[in-house]
Amino acid sequence: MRLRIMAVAGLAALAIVAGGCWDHSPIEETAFVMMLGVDLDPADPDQWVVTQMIALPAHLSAQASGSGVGPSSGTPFYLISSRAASLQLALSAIGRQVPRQTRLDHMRVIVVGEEVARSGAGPVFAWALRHPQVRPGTVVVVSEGPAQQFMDSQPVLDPLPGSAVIGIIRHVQRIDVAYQAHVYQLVQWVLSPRRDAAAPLVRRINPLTARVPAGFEQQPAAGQPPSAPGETLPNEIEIIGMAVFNGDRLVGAVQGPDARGVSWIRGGSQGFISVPYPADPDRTVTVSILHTRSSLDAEPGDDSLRLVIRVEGEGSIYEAGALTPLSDDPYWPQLEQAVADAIAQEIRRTVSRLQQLRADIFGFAEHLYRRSPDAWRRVADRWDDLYAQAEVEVDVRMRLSRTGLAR
Amino acid sequence: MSGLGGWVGRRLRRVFRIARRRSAELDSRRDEQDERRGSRSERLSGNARRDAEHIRRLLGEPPELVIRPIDGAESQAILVYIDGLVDQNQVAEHIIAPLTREPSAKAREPFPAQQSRLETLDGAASALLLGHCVLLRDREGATAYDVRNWAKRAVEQVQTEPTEVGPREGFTEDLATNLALVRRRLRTHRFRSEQFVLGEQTRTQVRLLYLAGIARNELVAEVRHRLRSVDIDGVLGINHVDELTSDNPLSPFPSTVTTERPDRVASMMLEGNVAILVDGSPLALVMPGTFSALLQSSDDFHQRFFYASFTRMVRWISVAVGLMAPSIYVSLISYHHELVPTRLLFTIAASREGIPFPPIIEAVLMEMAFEVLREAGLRMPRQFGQALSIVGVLVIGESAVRAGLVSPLMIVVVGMTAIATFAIPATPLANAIRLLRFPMMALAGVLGLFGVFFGFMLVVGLLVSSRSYGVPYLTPVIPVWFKGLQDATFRGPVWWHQMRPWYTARPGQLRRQPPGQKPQPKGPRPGERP
Repeated sequence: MRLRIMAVAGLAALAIVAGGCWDHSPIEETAFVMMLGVDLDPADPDQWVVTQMIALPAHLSAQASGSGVGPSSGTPFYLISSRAASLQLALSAIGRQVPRQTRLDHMRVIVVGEEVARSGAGPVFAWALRHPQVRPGTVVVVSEGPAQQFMDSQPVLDPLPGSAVIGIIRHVQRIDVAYQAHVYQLVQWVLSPRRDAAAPLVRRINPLTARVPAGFEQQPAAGQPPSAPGETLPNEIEIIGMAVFNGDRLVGAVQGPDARGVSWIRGGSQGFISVPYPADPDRTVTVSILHTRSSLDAEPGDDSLRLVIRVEGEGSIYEAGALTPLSDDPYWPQLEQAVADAIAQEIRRTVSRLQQLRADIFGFAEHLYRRSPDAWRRVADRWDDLYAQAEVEVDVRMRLSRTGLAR
Repeated sequence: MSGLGGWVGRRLRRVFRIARRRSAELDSRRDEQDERRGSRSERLSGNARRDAEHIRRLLGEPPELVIRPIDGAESQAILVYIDGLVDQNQVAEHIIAPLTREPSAKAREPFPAQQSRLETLDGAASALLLGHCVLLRDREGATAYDVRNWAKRAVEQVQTEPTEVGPREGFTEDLATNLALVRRRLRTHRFRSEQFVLGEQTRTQVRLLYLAGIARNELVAEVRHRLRSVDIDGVLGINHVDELTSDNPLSPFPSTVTTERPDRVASMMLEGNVAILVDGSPLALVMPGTFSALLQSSDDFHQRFFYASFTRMVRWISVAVGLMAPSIYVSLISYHHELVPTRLLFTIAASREGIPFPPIIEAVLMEMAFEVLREAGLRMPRQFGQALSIVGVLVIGESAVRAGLVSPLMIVVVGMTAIATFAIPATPLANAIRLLRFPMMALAGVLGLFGVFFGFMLVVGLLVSSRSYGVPYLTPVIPVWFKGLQDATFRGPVWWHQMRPWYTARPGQLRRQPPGQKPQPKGPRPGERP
């Protein structure tokens, strides 16, 4: 009897062992998707086009070039795309072309094409939140134009465009135009009646041709035909602002000078701002902001709304346009005021653009609701109209604590 | 199913029946032996010549047995000894010279260091084999004089437990030397050494050492009891005693501390531990041996406590690394990619590109290769050491990677693991961990991290459930004893060590030193006005 029990126990133990093998997926039989682009087929808008960026580890690591021939040639990834009537079908259709099992565990960025965003990105967010391999913390960006085209870029400094995008967003959200949006945040915002969704807007850019002022273009080398502009797509990527959603549909963007206010309103900014020197308007003083703190509120009246933005911060002068010491400058208070005014100006510009788009991406409604749920309920059904017409009160207080001149 | 089970059951029962019969036969045979032993312990006759002849026959008439009659006026005297076991100079100077040269017969007495009266033939034979010389005299009976001096090694540097700054002398194979080495460190009247003779054929001398009044009585009694129950034909080293008295004979973990350092024996005896020395073995056995005691090194007490605590923590970490590093690596890269940071994952993936074996096979291969290298390095003659290290490094390391047989990262992991096990001061513990690594790797290969934790839980379960001489093996971690933790996970400063461990020391003797010994400036500082 004991023998039989032991035999049964042994067989049961073997069952556990069998269970383990189901999850077995050796690293060398796996293809890691780093970035995923979602587009609509221009020919047939009912079809999803999914582009996956699969990493080629051998090209990525230093070890591949270990034999001493320098960095390996060729891109460290390749793009592969497929179309089908649903996202997941399109995704799995890639299995017909890739000899390894694709996994989304290490996917860091989802690029939503402009067309998809305009017609409603909700299905993409919902899919990403459901898929067991996609992390809720995956970053979502919206590309200008099709996602596929954006993904074909090759940033030089960070060979993986996925990490390059995240790196740039992290950097940018400290200084100005954009902030990170994760899958779970976007879903929260889309579902929330008191806040509108926004995701960084990205595009490809060629750093030289885009930035070099007229007259400084590189002359083509002798013997080589001059390259026609627009022949090759630019290789680098850029974050230009925030794509603004209403519900799950893209309605516009804050970008360029309009987007400068984004980080002031969010607080914690460490950006720069330039103002003319009060005593001599030809001189420009540039201030590096050490830290800022912001508080938002909405004050509903009978048939009106006031948006209140308060920003407090501290800065240090980086560029004064002259060598004169500023420490005992009589214009110091005026300088501080000028900086505060300039910041207020940028904030107003951003908010007025958002009012045009009727999108409350900073969640003024949410702040109102937290302060006074009843007050929010009274204006809830008129909110969009009130918001678009709202009066904006901006109160910025800046302290300049360092003159930046140490020697 | 039932047919098979029944058949196996019947078979097993039959095997047991046969075994029982065999053991009964053995018992009866043992009785016979006892009888024969009884016949050997017959009393000496008092006739020197006849007794000498008896002894010669008992020992099988060996040519190296020296039987030398000494001419005396009054009585016949015969000196018997075994050539090679005794010191010829001592025999000549201290025994033969006084017996022959002294003019007055009254004063004709040998004067060596130690002497004892002999009553039986058996006693005379064992005295001879111990290196005594036996003087048989008509009517006056037999006396054994200790003049032993056999070939022995000098006290040398410790080989297996080197320290950075601690004392360097280690035990030798000679019991008397070893005993002196310990005694020299504990000059107290409490020092006790009890003699046991184990091994029917080897008659090995075994000493039980403890500090009376400090070691717990029950502990000493238990060790004594277990030593008495040892009944084998030969005790050739410490391990025979250990395996016959161990608490957990089937556990891979050692339940006693083996050390070749007299200072470590002394320091553990001060805490109330009991030590066993075996003649012919350059190791001492100290019990009870807890897991944390096995992770202590002699250096801990010879270095400042911050550094000693740090190195002790390093050792705990190396236990974990040595046990689990390869298995965690295997399970991460074959099951749980999502746990690896992306860049690290790509480094691993790139290094695994084109490797023909799955990770688990690769890991087992490399671990086995390392074990073979280690064993070869241990067994082969010293002169070939250089050749081995060249082959080991070049063939196993460099060429295997170049040929694409193993990934460089696996070499890194295996190397790290190997080094980690060498950081464990107690070799038996390191061996246990080395051994358990393989089942852990198998579990990792089959079940992933789940398997690793399953295996880890089994190991922890084994540790928690074992005891050493009544002391839970993981004391003072489990069951937790906060006072003792200061000497287990890290080493507190010496002025903290106010208590002896409750599980070794006598209840009344737990206080080790008075409190408040932290050095503090008293009175005014130099130059300061009072």
